[in-house]
Amino acid sequence: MIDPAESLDIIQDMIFKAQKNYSIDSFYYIMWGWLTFSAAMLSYFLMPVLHEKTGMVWLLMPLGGIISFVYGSKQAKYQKVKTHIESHVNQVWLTLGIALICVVIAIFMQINFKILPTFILLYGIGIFCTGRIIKFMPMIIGGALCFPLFLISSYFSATDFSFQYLILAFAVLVSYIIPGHILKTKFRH
Amino acid sequence: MALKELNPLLHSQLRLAVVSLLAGVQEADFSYLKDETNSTAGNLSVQLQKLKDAGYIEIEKAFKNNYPQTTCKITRKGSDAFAEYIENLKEYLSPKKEKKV
Repeated sequence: MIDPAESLDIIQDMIFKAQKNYSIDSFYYIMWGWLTFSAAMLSYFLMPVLHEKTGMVWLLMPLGGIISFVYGSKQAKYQKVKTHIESHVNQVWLTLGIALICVVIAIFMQINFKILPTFILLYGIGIFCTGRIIKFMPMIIGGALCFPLFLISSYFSATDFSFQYLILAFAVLVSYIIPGHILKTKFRH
Repeated sequence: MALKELNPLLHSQLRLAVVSLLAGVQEADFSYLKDETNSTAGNLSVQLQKLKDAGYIEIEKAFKNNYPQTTCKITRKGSDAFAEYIENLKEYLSPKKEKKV
C-alpha cells in the first residue's frame, strides 16, 4: 500500500511524462511549403510561355496529398501515444483540408469568389473544427453542411444573387443557431 | 471529522500511474504505458483489466503492422474518479484545511 505523499509523487511524475510526450511533425509544413513555393515560382516563370495554361502547374498539388497520405499512414503505425494537443491540431488541419478541397472544386466549377459564400465557408471552418474538438455532433453536422452550402451559394451568386441570402440564413441556422440551442439545453444545469 | 477513504481502485501504485498518464493524453498504447510505468506486461495487463472492469478506462484491441496493438483511453467515469481521488488526497496532505460539513 502506498502513502498519500507517494501518491502525489506518482501523479506529478506521470502527468509530467504525459505532457512532455507530444511532438508536432514538421514534415507536413516543410513538404507543403516547398511544393506550393515551387508551384508558385514555376507559374511565375512559365507564364510568358504557357499563358492561360499556367494553371496546369497546380496539378502538382495532388502529389502533396498522396505523399501526406503515405507518410501519415506510416507514422500512425509507430505512434504509441496521442496527446490532446496533437488531436486538436489534427482537427484544425482536417477542417482546413476539407475547406481547401471546396475551394479547388469552386475553381474547377469556374466560380468567382463572392463575399457571402466566402463567409459560409469561414463559418464552416470554425464550427466544424470546434465540433470535432469538443466532440459535439450537432456542430460537426452544421459545420459540415456549410461546405456544400458554400458551393451552392457560389454557384447561385452568378445567376441569382438574392438567393444567396436565403442560403446564408440557412447556413447560420444549421451551424450556429441549432447547435447553439442544443448546447444551451445540454449545459443548462 | 474522519478523513475520507481513498478510492482503493486508484490507491495502488501501478493503477494510479496508469490513470495519471491517461488523464493527460487522448490515448496511449500498451507498450507506452509499460515503458513509462516501468511495469511488467503481466502485471500491467491485470491492472488494466481491473480499471476496465470498473469502467475507468476503455481498451481497444487492433492489429497494426501485423502485430496486436492495445490502445487505452480514460473514460468520463475514470476522470471523475481521478478528480475525486485528488480532492481526497488533498485532505490527507493538509488535514487542517479539511472542509467541515
